[in-house]
Amino acid sequence: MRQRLYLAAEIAVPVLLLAFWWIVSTGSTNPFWPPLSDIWNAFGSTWTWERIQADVFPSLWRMGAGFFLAAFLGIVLGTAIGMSARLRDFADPVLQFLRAVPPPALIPVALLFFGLDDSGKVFLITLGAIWPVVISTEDGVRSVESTLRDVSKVYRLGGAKTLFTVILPSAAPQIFAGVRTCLSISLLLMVISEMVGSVNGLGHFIIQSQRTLDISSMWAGMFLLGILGYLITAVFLLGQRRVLRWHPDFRGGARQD
Amino acid sequence: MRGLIGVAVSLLIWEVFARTGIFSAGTLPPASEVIGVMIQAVISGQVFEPLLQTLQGWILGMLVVTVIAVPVGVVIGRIEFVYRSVRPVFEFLRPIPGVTFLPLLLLMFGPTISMKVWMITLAAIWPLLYQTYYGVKSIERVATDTARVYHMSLGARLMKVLLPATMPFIATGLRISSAIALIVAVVAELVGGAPGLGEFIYNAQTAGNYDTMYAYIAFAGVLGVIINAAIRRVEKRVLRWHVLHREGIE
Repeated sequence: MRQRLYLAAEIAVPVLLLAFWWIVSTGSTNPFWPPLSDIWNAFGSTWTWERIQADVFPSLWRMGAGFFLAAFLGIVLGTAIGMSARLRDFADPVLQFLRAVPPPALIPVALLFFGLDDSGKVFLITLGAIWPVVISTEDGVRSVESTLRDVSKVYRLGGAKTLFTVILPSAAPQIFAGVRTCLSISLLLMVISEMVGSVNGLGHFIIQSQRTLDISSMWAGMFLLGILGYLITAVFLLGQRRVLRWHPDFRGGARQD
Repeated sequence: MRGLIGVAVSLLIWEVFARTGIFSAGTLPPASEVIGVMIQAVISGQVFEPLLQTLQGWILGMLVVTVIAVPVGVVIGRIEFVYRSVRPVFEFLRPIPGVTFLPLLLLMFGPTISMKVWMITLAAIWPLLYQTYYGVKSIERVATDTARVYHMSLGARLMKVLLPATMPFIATGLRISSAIALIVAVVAELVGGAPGLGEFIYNAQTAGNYDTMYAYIAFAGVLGVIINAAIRRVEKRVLRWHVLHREGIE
């Protein structure tokens, strides 16, 4: 009974909210909050297949390239630093500083070196989104239980085998936590870099609609961005659940955010 | 000591790269010049206004975030019906990048501090809210039952059961949220034109003052380091009693 009530609430509340928005905004003359029906129409007429190819695909490509580069390089760098205490001593202050620089501050640098090219955006995303992966990989690698290390040594597993069958799997939950942050920063930097300097892309479309006061299109862009953010995160979480299915810690799951 | 060597070597590499002119003229000024500009900006006091403006936005934003996120987190943690009602809405809103709202907020508030604080609130609220929720959920049944058996007052239950159990989670949430808040503050300044470090960086770039641009990017990094360190400190103090912190696991 109770479960059914909860389920009803889960369905009813979003529906009611949307209905409320729809009704309240009907005939709205507030220029910034057009009627929801207008946004709905604008969404349909804006996001045609050609438009998606012209603006959404470039965005996804930039984000994807930057994200995978950042995640890959971050895991490599984090593992190296996590394994070698000496390297960690040398690199720590520099890393702490680089990590603290808010990534959007680097947009002008990317513009300066690469202009409006895609390479500049991929560079920016990689440079800005790599740090959470580096830090959490380092953490994960360092906190591998010493028993595990000892056992691998006793069994003479060898460097590469120890790394891939013992250390990395054991650090995987932390690595994934870092990669999740990396994903949301990549998404943010993709949008921002397109807003500042770009000739196409979702961020460019939204800011251009805003500048030309085409508010319904702006909202349509914001909605699409929201949906994309939701879908990308959902796909990531699905992948994470698959990869970490074996991990006993992970089923508890409370702090893996 | 080794850390200092690391810093020195990095700066040296930067200096050499810049001096050999691999990069086209001016895009990468030598480290020594940028540090010179930084020292000048500190002596003349020029840096403090934008630095404080960014910090002000961050503080206000985090205040709003905390005031909303912690109570909401507690409520959805305690009352299952509320949690289930808002869950689909929250789960949809949470992954939306905070910058999505920038164009709308720019229209509504212009390049102002309110716009910055709104941006921070919308983007940085989720980690703290969800960590608080996880914290409340982590309270063991025995603890709440015991409190009820002993007829503890609401205030006592809040202070002696809820808060201590939730605190470590709230601390984690604050750390994540505050990092996002700084990022979004810079976005609001750099893209939205609100006053602060980001605006300075953007203006320096458009004016072609690249050494100033790098200097202010470095200042933004310094601000980030200061904020990280401050939060670490507070966390250590507040959670001194906690097992995880006593054992020194970070």
